[in-house]
Amino acid sequence: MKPKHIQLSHGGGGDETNQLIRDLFFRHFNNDILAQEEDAARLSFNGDVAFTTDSFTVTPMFFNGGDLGKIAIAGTTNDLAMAGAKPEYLSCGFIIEEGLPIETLEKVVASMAAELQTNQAKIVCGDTKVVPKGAADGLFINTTGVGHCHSKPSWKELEAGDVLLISRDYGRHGACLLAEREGFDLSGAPDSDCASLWPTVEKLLAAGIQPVAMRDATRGGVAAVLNEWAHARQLGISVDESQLPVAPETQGVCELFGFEPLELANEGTFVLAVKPAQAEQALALLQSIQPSAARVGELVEAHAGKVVLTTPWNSKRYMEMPKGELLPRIC
Amino acid sequence: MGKLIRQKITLTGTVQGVGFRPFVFRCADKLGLTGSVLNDASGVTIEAQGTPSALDALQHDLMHSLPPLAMVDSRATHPLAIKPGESEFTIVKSRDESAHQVAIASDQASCKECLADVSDPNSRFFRYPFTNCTNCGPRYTIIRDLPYDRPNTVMSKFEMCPECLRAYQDPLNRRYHAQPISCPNCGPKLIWRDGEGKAQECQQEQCIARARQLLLDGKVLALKGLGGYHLMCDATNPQAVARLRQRKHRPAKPLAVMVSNRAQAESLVSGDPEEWQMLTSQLRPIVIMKARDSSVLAKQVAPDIDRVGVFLPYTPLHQLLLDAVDRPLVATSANRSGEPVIHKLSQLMSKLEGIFDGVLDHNRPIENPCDDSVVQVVNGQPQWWRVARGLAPLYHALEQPLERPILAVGAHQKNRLSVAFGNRIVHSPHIGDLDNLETLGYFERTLTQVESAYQIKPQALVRDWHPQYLSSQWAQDYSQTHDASLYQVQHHHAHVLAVMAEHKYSTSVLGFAFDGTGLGESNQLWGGEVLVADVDSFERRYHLKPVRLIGSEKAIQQPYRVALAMLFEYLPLNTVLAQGWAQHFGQSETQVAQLHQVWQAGINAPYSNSMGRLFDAMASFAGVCQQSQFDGQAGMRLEAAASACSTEQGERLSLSIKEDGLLDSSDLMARLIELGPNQIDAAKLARGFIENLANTMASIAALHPKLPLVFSGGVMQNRTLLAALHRALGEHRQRWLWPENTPVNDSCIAQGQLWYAIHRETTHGAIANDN
Ligand SMILES: [Fe+3]
Ligand SMILES: [Mg+2]
Ligand SMILES: [Zn+2]
Ligand SMILES: [Zn+2]
Repeated sequence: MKPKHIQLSHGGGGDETNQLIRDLFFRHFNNDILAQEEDAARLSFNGDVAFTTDSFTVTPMFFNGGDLGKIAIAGTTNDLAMAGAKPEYLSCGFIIEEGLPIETLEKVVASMAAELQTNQAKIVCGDTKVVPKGAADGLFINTTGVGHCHSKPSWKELEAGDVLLISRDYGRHGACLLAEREGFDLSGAPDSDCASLWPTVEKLLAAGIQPVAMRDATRGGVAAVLNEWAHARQLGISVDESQLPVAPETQGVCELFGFEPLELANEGTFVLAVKPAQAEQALALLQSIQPSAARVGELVEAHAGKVVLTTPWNSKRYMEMPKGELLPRIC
Repeated sequence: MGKLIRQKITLTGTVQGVGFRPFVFRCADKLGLTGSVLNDASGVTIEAQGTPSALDALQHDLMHSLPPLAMVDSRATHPLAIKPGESEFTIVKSRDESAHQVAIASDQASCKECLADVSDPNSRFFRYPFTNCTNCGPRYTIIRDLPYDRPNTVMSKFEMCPECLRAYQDPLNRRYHAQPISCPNCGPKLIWRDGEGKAQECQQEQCIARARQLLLDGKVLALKGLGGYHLMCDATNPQAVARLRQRKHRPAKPLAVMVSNRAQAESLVSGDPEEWQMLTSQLRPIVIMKARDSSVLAKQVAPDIDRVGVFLPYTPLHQLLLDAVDRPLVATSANRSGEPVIHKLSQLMSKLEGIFDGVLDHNRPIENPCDDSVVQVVNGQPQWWRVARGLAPLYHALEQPLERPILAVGAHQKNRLSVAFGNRIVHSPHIGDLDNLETLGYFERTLTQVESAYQIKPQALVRDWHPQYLSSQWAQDYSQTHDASLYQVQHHHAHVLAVMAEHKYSTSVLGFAFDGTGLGESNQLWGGEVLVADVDSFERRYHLKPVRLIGSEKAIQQPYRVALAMLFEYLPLNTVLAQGWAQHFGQSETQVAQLHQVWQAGINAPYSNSMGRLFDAMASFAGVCQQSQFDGQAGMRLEAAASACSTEQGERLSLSIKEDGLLDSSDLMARLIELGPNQIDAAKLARGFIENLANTMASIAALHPKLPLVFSGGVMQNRTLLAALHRALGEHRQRWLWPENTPVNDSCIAQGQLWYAIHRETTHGAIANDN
């Protein structure tokens, strides 16, 4: 009888390991390169490629709008997409805690496969380790991705006058995870925005949009992206608060916890800088995919290195770099 | 004629631009002295020759009959050889050298004589809105550079007419060297503008008449005053006040009211002699006084609060307008919440567009904006809430000179700067909350102004422990880019130090620092501290029991979150719900259950032992404040509630003092829970809490009978608490260091920080650095 849970022997390199790889990973990730079963995948490239890696862990492993598997693919393919590259080949490494239900692992793997499909990308090599109970929290996944560059956006190209767009309403992933923490009962919390961004980027490029810079607003949220850009280029960024798209359900969770949606993580939302002449077209295209896409502001010469938010009452304040713990400054 | 002697008398302090030399001239004239008086870089130098008794009389006058605005830091006398045959006393022209030891004087309200000129049809200043003299008028707000001479002020663009010039040059004239002297022939003029800011053809009297009509019609006027623009409307017209509030997005924070004279004030507020004296003093501050029930003021002026801030006109323009409308006017600084007062027409137009219906403007520029000062009088003593017009910049002398200039950058909110250099301390006027860029710009501008006026560059800085205060971030950057030392002072220590500084006190005190929040040790949020502190260090002897702030800053805006966190410490969720607390706080049961989850998980719910938050919670339990619309609202409403209950009939709600210094709220909570939502009486709760707190404080004070007492922090602005404390401490208490001119809110933080650094620099030399 097959075990229902991952055992240490699944990572031992013997029969059980092989069985797991064949029954689970090959079945879901099957493709011509993987099927070669060589020690290393052989790939051929022509021209510039982008290459990135990331490791993933999330609590809870399954949440509204996604799961660890989806994030493990979207996270890495999004980094490629943000570099203007089409995600093509991925590697993946699993670190599995002893005792993880195989059914859980399979759900994660199936989700990875589906997300690969969205990107038209392949997993071409991989690795599995099983660690004793307590040495990891369920399942850790590392993925590495590579793909051809179709465009070369870079924060180094940002200039005063560039317009900043956001691909959809922000803060959903962070708000979703807050609400889904163990024991919480928050009805009306948002779904995660977890998604692969390449299809959107591909449409932008196909329409002739030349992105100056792109960045997905993961940890630290939109506030981190804007601050990093302003700081790195020593330019100012001015943001019109009234234009910022936040879903009421995200706002609701933030009200409860006292968090700022701009600082919450996203897993499928990106900031795009374009030349003013292309701003309208790019925004229309983004809105055809996500109606909440919006223009958030622009790069300016003033207040170099800082992001300045103009409130609906026309007063200005800094949008600060998110801190680990924001202690009240109110006395 | 008897024996002659000659003396050289040197004086430092606020002695220039305040009529000091003509004052000396008149004394000399009266006493038959010969010699001279001159302004120089260090102040005023007098050489006087005459009989010993005449010189004694001069010294007496220099001590006791100074011009109203003069303040002498030091006075030194040296004997000189007599000059035989000298026959005159002369005013020597200013020496042309940098005058950085001379203080920039603060603005002063119109003096009686000037107001008399303005209402005298035979005076050439009749109804002239910019009348002033050496004893009154603008100073700080018009000065561009030192020394304080007309070319260095915004008045340089107005050429004096022959009559004004004559007065300016006549030592016996009240306007001798009054730098802003002007008259209808040569001075600034009124301008009437419509709601779009367009100037309209209009004579001076017509300008005032139009402003009057606008106000009587219930509309909003922007008035250019001394240190900035005011927004004004008829304070007796509820629609007008509501309109102003709505346009300014200021739903609840009390609005100040200007009245034409004391009699009109008496119909609105009641007070004791000290309060009336403060109201009518030449400082002309906004005085927070007890509102009369019979007052004609619209309720919207200070909703749900039993106090109102009133003040009297302080320029001829204000007086002319107030006399014309003959009714109290709301007079609130033209600014957006937390931003500095607007002092330029362009700012007014761009920032407050659509808020006012007309502008009573003029063409005398305002160089340095300065807000109105705010004070309350408690137990007969003034307590300043905002130190600005009339008081600031504020100077103190140091006994031991400093080797290098020190800059203290203050707190994040209610910011003020303090600078020390040489043997002088300067405290800036109130700056504001640094959250917004305008205020941060004003912060930097104020600093630049101090630096250039006194030709100093700070070489040591002092900041709060909180690294995220914008002032701290600024100081951090500055110290790195300018290679300056940086000291850090704990927030509540600074609160106590500020009061010690005013009393030049450096040894141990028992300091109660009760405020909103401030960063303490190990990233804890403090705010209910009793410290045994000296100028070097502090020991935290007592502190309030900590409670979670559910949602961190959110809990500061929503006092019921603190009240709930306190309940959650003692009751399971279902009991909280079953007892009906959710309804009591006006929240849904779902919301309360969710807050319980956040509380339990401790996500963004840091512990704080703030006394301000305990007041918030009590206001929430009393049902008088569930959402705080402005800082201090909960405390003010609690006070208003307490006024309906006698001191004896308050509920027994006391803190107990534990061995380890914990001020435990368990008994207090047990009583509140015992009462439950249905039996809580707001008045009894409010009164009982405040009275018992005062008793607890007095008990702590009694445990340290040798230590002088300091009470600081925003909570100490609670007048009901201070009155109760006064009673509880009784006659036989130790010394109480009362802050006469130091605010106890965060405006004082820079002063406390500075006091710490001055001591470090003078006792340890200029090498110490906390970094
Ligand atoms: Fe404070
Ligand atoms: Mg990544
Ligand atoms: Zn005068
Ligand atoms: Zn004149």
